[in-house]
Amino acid sequence: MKSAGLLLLFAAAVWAAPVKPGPTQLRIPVCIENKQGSDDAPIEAKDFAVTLDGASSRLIDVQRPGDALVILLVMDLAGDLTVAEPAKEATIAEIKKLPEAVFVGLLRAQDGLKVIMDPTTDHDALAGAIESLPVSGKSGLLPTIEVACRIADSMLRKSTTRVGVLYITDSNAQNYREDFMNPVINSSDSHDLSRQFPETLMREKISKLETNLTAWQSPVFVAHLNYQGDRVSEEYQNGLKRLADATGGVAAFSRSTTEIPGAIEHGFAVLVSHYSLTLALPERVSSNPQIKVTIPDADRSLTYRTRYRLRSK
Amino acid sequence: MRKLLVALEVSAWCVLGLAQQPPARKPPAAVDSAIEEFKIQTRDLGLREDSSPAVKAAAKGGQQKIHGRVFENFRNDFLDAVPHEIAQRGETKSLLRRNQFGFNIAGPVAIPRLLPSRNDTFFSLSYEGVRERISRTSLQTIPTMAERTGDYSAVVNQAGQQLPIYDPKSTRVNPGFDPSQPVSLTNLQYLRDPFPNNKIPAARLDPVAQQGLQLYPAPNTNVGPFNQNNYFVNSPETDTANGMIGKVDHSFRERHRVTTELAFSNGLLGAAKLFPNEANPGASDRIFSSRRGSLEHVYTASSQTVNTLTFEVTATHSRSGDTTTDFPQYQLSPFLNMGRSYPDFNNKRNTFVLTDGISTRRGKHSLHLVLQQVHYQVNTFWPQYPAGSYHFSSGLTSLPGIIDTGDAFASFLLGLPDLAQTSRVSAPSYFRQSHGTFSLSDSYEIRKDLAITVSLTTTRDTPRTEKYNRQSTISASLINPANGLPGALLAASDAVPGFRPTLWRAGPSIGLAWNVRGQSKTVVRASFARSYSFIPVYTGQWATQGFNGYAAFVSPNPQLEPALVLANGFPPPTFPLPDLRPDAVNGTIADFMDQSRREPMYQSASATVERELPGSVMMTAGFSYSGGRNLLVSNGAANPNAISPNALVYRDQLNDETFNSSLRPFPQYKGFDVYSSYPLGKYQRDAGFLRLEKRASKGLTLSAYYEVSKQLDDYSGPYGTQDFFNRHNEWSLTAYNQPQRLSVSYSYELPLGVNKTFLPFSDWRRYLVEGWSLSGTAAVASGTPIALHPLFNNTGGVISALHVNAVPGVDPNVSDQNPSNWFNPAAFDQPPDFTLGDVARTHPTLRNPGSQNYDLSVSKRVAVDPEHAVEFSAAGFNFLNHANWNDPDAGIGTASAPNVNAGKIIGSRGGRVIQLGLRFSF
Repeated sequence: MKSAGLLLLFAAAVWAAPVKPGPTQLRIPVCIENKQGSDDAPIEAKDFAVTLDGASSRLIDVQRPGDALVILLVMDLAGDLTVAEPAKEATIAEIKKLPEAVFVGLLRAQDGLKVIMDPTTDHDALAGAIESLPVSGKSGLLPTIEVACRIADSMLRKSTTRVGVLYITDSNAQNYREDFMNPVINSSDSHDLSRQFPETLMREKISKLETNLTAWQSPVFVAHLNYQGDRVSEEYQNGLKRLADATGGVAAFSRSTTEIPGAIEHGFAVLVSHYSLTLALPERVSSNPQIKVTIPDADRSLTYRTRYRLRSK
Repeated sequence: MRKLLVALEVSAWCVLGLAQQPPARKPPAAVDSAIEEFKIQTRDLGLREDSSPAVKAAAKGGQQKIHGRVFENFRNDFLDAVPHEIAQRGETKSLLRRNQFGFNIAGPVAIPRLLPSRNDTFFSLSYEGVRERISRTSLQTIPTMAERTGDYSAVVNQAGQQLPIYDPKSTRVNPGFDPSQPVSLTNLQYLRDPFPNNKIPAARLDPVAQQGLQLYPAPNTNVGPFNQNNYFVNSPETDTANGMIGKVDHSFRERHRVTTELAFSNGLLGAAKLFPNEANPGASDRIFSSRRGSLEHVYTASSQTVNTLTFEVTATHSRSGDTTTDFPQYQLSPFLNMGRSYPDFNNKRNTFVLTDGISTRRGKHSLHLVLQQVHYQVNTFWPQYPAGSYHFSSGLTSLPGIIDTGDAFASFLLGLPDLAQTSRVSAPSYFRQSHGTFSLSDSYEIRKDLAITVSLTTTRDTPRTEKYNRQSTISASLINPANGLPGALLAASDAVPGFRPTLWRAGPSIGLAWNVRGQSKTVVRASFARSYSFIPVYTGQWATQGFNGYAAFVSPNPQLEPALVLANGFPPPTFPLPDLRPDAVNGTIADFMDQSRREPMYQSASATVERELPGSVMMTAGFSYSGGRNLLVSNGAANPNAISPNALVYRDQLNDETFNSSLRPFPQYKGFDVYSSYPLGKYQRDAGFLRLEKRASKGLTLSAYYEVSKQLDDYSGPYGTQDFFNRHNEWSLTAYNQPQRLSVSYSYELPLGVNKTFLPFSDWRRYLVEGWSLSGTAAVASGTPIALHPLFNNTGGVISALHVNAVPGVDPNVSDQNPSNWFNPAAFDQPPDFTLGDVARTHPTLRNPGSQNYDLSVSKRVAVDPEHAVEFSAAGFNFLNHANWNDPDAGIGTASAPNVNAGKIIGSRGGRVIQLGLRFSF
C-alpha cells in the first residue's frame, strides 16, 4: 500500500514538472455585441485590457472588424438536397456581401478534407465552385475539424491577419463513418441497459475534440443545417456548440429550410465582425493560462476564448 | 463565353478536386503570408491535388485513422437494491450476473502489398457478447394442498364465504321449474346435490388429473386474501448472445460510393421457469439467430442529383430450445395453468428489400422519388396444443344457473373440461407476401420565409400466399353442405392463391414551415398526412385448417355435460390430412381471414410554434391529432361469428350449445379465430405539448417535454369488447393512455479543472478533477385508466367480456386515496345474469397509479493522450429506488359476495439497478 502511494506521488511529480517554454504569442478571438443587439463602432486597441493568469499582459496587435480576414470555409454537405441547395444559395449570397478585405478559401469535408479553392476575393469563382460541390459521401466535420484548425492556426502564427474556420454542415450523428449510434447488435438481449444513455459515445468524442482543439488558436464557427431531436443528435448539436465555444467561435442552428439563410448569415456575420487580439506571452507561462479580457464600455457584451492548451515551441 | 469557360473550369476543380488559384485581387502582405501558409500546410497535409501521392496517402490517413473502442459493462446483484416485489415476499436476493463486452474498430482498409491504403475504402467491425444469469419473479395463485385432494371444506369465494361444490352426477331436471321466470335459487331449472362436507370423494378424482397434479408445485407464500397469491416464483434464466456487424464502404471516381454491411447475432433466451418440470406454463427456452446483409450504391450524377440504390436481406430464426416431452395444457383460471399452448416452434422470417431513391433539385423545388419493393417469406412451424388443451370452468361443479358456485379446479379434479382442443400439424407453412411503394415528394420554397412539402405515396399490397397453396379460410359466401348455409372451408389454389385482393392505396401528406415575419427566432409548422399499412404475415400457422388438423370439442352445455372426459383423452381423428371438404372444420373454432378491401388507415395533423428564447433556450409548443380506422384487432375485439346481445333474452336457454349455435351468423362453427388480423379497430388521439431545450451552456444541456393527451379507441384493454354489434358503445379511453407525461433529460460537464469554475488545478490534480460528467433522465407519467370487470359472467357464452354496472349515486372516487383504498368498489356492481354492464370498457375518470423513473449516469474520462482515453461510468437505473405501485384489483363481485380486494393495491415493484462500465477508446 505504501509503495503504491509512493508510486502515485512519483507519477504526480512527473506530471507536475515545470512547463516547457511555449509560444511567444497568443491570439484571442473576441466577439463584441452591443447589449441592445446591434454592433457599434469598432473598439480601439487601447481600450482592451488583458490579464494572463491574473497579471496584466501586453497586447502586440489588435485586428478589428474592418481589417483583413481569411475565412476557411469548409462545406460539409452529405445529406439531403433539400437542405444542401438552400445552404449553397445562402452561402453564395453571404460571400457576395463580404467586404473586400475578406478572403475566402474553400474546402470540402466529406470523406476527408480537400481544398477546392485557395483563399480569394473572387466571389464569382467561389460561387461557381460552391454551386458545383457534390452533395454526397460521409459527414466530415468531426474527423476534419482538428486538421482545419491546425491549418488556420499555422496561418495565424505566420501572419497578423484574422483567420477563422467556418463549417457549413448538414451532418448528423448517423452519417459519420465512425460509429456514434451504437446500434443494437444482439436483438435477443432484452435486458440491455447500456443503450439507455445513447449519447455517451458522441459525448466522449466531443470531449476529446474539445480538449484537442484548445491546442490550436484559431476560432471555429459552425452553421448547422439539419436539426434532429433524438438524444444522440441533441448531444451532437450541443457538442458542435461546445466545440465552437471552446475555440472562441459560435455555432448557429437551423431547424428548417427557411432558417438556413439565417443560420449561415449569423455564422458569417460573427466571423467577419470578430476581433483578434495578439498577446505577448511571458517566457514562462502555464500550459493552461487563465485569460481575462475587458473593455471599458459597459454597454457592450464581450465573449472571448478562455481555453488554451499551450504547446511547446 | 468567358463566363462559361470560368464556370466549366470551376466545375472541373470541384469534380476533380483540383485546387487552383483563380484570378483575384492582390492580397495585402499579411494576408499573402497567411495564404502562402495555407498552401504549404494543405500541400503538406495532402489536401491538394498537387500534393505528392505519398504525402497524400500519409496525410489523409491522419484524418481517417484506425479508431475504435473496447468495452465491458458489468452488473451484479450485490450492486443493486433488492427489488420491492421481492423484499415484500421476505426475500433478500434477486440473482443477477451480467457481463456485456465487445469492441468496435474502424478505419481505412489497407492490406500490405495487396491493397495499399488509398483512403477510399473503409471498414467498421463491431462485436458484442452477453453472458447473463438473471432471476424473474412472479406472484401467482395455485390450489391449496387440500383442494388438490378434493377437500373444499375450507375453500371460500372472493368475499370469504364458503364456495359450494356440486356433484355433476346428481344433476336432474327440476319438476317445479317455472320457465316463465328467471332461473334463481328459488326457481332452479336443474337440481344438483352438493358434495358431502364440500369434499369430492377420492374415488371420483380423475386419474389423469391426479397424475398431472404430481407436477403442480405446493404453495410457498400466503399473501392472500383467502389463499390467493400463494405461490411466489423467483426463478433464474440464462441468456447468452454473440453478434457482429461488419461494414465496408468504397468510393470511386468521386461520384460512386458502395457500402456493404453484414451482421449476425446468435442468442439463447433461457426463459425463467414457473415450474421446475415439464408442466411449466411459462415460456420455453428460445434460440435466436439473425442475419442481415445490405448493399448500397450512391451515385452522385451531378451536384443537384443523387441516386441511391439499396438491396437488403434480413433473416431471423427462432426456435424452441425445450427438449422435454410435451405436456398437455390445463387451463384452470383463476389458478395458474399447467402446460403451454405452443411448446415447440421453429420460425424463420426473411425480408428482401430493394429501394431506389432519386433526389434532385430544380430551381426552388427539391424532388424526391422513392421506389421500393419488399418481399416477405415467413416459414413457420408452430403447432398449437400438440398434446391437447383442456379448459375447465366452474359450470360443471356449480348449481346450474347460479353464479358463485362451483369451481374450475374442482371440474379439473373430476376430469370434466368444457372445451378441449388439439392439433395435428405435419409440415411447416411457407407464407409469402409483397409490398410495393412509390413515393414522390416536393419541397418547395415559396418564399425565403415559407417552405412547403407535398408528397404522395402509393402502395401496392399483395395478399398472403403459401408456397404450396397450403392455406385456407372460411368463405362467408360458400355454401356449407352440412346445413346449406353460407360459410364453408375454402382452400387456396393456383387460381386463388390468396384470399384478399391486391390493394392499391395513395396517401398524401403536406407540411409547411413559416418563419413569422421573416424572423429566424420564430417558426410555425403545420402538417397533415394520411397513410395506409397492410396486414402483415405473422408467425404461426393460422388459416391452414384442412391442411393441418385442429380438433375442438365443445361441451353441449357447459353447466351439464363436459366436452369429453379427461381420462379418455381425444377420440382418434376421423379423416386423414389434408381434409379439404367444405365442412371439414365444422364444429371447430375456425380460422377466419378477412376478405374485404379494408386496410389499416392512419392520419395525423399537427401544428407547432418554435421560439428561441434568451439563454440558448428553444421552446416548442404545439398540438397534434392522430387517428386511424380499420386497425388490426384480435379475437377479443372482433368476432364475425358473435351472437347479438339481443339474444340475452333467451337467458339460461343459451347454455344449450345447440340453441346457442343456432343464433350465430355461421352456426356450423363454434367460433372464429381472426388472429390479430381483423381490420376493424378505430382510435383517435389529441395531444398538446411543450418542449424546452437548453443548449449547451457552461457544460449544461437540458431538455424537458411535457404532454397532455387523450386517446380513445374501441378495442384496447385486457378483457376485450362487450358488444361486437355496437362498437360506438365500446368507444372509451385507450387502455394505455397516460394523459400526462413529463420527461426530462440532462447532461452536465462538471465545471472542474483548468479554465473551469471550480478546482482549476493545472498540476497533477487535474487528472483527478477533470473529465467528470453527469447525464440523467426523469420520466413521470400519470396512470392508465382502470379496466373494471365483473367476477362472474353468466351470459350463456354470448358475451365474452362483460362490463360492470355503475351503482347510481355512489361516487367511484375516494377522498383519501391510498393503496388500500384506491377507488370505491361500492360504486360498481356485478350486472344481473344475462344483462350487459353499463360502465365503459375503461373507466373515464379512475386511473391506475402513475409511474416515476429516474436514471443517472456518472462518468469520468481520462485522456491518456490526444488519441486515447479511458472512460469509467456508473449508471443507476431507478437510482432513487422508487417503488411504483401495482395496479389495484379491479374485479367487482356481487353485492352479496363482494370481492374484498376490489379497489386495493397489493404490493409495488421496481428497484435500483447499477451498471458499471469501462471503455477504452482509441
